[in-house]
Amino acid sequence: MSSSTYNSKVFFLFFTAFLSIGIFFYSASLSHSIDCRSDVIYEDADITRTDLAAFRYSLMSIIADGQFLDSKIQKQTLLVDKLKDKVIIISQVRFSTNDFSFNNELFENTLIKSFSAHKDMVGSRLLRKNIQCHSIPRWFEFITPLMLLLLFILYLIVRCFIKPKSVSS
Amino acid sequence: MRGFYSCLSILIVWTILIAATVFNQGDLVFAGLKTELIIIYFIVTFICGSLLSERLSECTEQINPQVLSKLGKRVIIIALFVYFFAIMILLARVQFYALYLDIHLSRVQIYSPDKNLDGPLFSVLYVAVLYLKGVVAVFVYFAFVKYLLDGEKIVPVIISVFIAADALIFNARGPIIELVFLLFVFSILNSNFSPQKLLGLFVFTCPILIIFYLLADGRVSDAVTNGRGYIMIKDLAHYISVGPILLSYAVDFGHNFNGLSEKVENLSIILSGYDYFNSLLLRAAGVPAQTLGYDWIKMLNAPLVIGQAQHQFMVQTTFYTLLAEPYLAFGIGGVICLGFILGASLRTLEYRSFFKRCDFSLFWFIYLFKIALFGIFVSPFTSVIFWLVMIFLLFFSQFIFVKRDA
Repeated sequence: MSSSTYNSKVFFLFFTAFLSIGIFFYSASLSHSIDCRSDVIYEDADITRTDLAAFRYSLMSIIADGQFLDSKIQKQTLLVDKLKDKVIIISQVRFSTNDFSFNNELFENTLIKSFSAHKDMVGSRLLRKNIQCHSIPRWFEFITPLMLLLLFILYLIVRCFIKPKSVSS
Repeated sequence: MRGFYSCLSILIVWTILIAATVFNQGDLVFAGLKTELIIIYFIVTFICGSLLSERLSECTEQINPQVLSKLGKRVIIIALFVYFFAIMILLARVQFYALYLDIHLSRVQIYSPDKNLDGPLFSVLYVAVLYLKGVVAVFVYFAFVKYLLDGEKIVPVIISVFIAADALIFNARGPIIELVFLLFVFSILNSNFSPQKLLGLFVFTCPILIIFYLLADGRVSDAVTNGRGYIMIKDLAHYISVGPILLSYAVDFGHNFNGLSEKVENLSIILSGYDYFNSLLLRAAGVPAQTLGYDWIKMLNAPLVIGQAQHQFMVQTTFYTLLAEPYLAFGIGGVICLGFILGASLRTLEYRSFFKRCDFSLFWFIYLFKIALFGIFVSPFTSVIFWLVMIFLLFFSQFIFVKRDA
């Protein structure tokens, strides 16, 4: 094995090991996670941009509390904008739950409840809502990349550091 | 490390992409779990492919390298002329509208003709010129690197001028980025190249580029107010995150596009560029054809909300990354195969380009490297030019490249 190939293998060994650790922590933290996204449209002609910013801030703090979901919020995005006479809210939440009986309706109801709490402030009518949640990826979907990388770490170790015995005639 | 520089660059770029995707939240729509997993699968299989390609290199060791034939050299010269005339036609159209009609065309209007402005016949011809320019550009880029490696300087300088003119006409940074990419390809295939030199060059040029960026964007005061590099890093993270966000729209949220979802696998999606080209030909002949590939490309042009800036939605189109079509056509298996094939072929092609000076390998190396590197934004499968190049090489590759005598 030339030194160039040897160096590249050692480099890849470190890179793969680094990536494996990253994927391990990623898989461990997200193995019980659920992504939910809601698109809600309110009818309102009078709301100002300042009101929208205030609305966004208070809604974000409610979701960030995570009280209404009884789950740990891992990620959240909240976008609020006014297009013509409609207020559009796009809300995304990723949370960790151990409740395997979780269904979309639960999240839908809790989120709508939190939106409705601010209805007076917005003073508007709910026109449309579309909420979808994604189920937890199956365990083998998480574990496969990690196993594949570990397999290749083993392969690299064998190729780099274990020399085959020479056969004497 | 010879033979692995391209793989290494791609791993760095795609690792930055997955990091930006995983940590992205707040003002931007974040990509779903499935999208993150797809990108991880791609990176992992890419590593596996590039490492296992060592075996492939041993198998191809005995194969004689292929070099440009006389016909191939003529094709390169013709490509240079066609590229030049295509740029002149674009420039003539832009100047005609600006000087005679006082219409200053936007970048979108330069990229695609307007039937009302140009008329149906000129529109068809203009589209043909744009596609021709795209196809010959692949050969021009190959010529740039090949002649630089051969120590000839005149052709690369001429090509650089053409590319700069192209960037100025389109008012786009794309061609300049491609030129930098070509110089990078040349540097890793150059026998004098060493990582230390590249690092030195990076350390030297990086502050200049940062200062240029801050000055050009007028963000110096913002950067000072919000902390050094705050705006720039945020902007960069936003820019990189666009691809995964749009990919997530196709993979996680579902477009309800022709009833297509991740459950419905459809082969036509992977051939969408070719499909689109056929539809265009039929439409040019007056037949109102509308295929699934055509619909898919039209849908890619639909603006989607990717985040919020200054209390307003940010919208973006087309940046669905390299992984969208393989996933929609073949599921996760498509992404795994793509990662493996790209990893294995890039490593083998770089190895053969450097050690064997094989022109055939060099041509494919430049093309595939570019596809994989810029794959964090765009996909070749939806590109008409990609399929035209494939068809052209399928028929003429054996005449353009011939085996060098052992």
